[in-house]
Amino acid sequence: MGKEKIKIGDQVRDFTLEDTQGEPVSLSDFAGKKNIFLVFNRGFT
Amino acid sequence: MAQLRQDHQAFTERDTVVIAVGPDSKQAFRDFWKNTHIPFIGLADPNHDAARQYEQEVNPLKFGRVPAQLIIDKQGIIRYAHYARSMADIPEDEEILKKLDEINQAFSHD
Repeated sequence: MGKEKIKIGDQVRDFTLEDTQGEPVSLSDFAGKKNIFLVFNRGFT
Repeated sequence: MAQLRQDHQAFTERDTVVIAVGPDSKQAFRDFWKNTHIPFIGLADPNHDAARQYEQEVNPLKFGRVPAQLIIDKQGIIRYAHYARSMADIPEDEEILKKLDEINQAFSHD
């Protein structure tokens, strides 16, 4: 709430979450190395 | 997810990591990834921290979260964002791959 809407050309908003191996993954891990295709799912359960 | 798994190689060839974020628990993610052999990164976001940062709509009347897809380039710039209007409103991988080709081409000319 109160946050600016995401726009094309905006800087990435970094976050860190645990992957399925229990390792932390941040979007910034890929800076300068890879493009990221980020998919938000509604959930599979 | 099935579409993405099938096309994962095409994303890899375009220097792109695929990261799926969902509201399920860490355990649910682990089980799902193990059972379905998904080749890309899966991140459990049960507290909606990442989803909120990206303003993914959390609407109980639409059965929880509405799907969203974004492309972030190597310089950390958001180059594509698609927020679904319904559960079925998901772009084809073909559209995403085309966009990645454009981004990679522009990047190599910098």
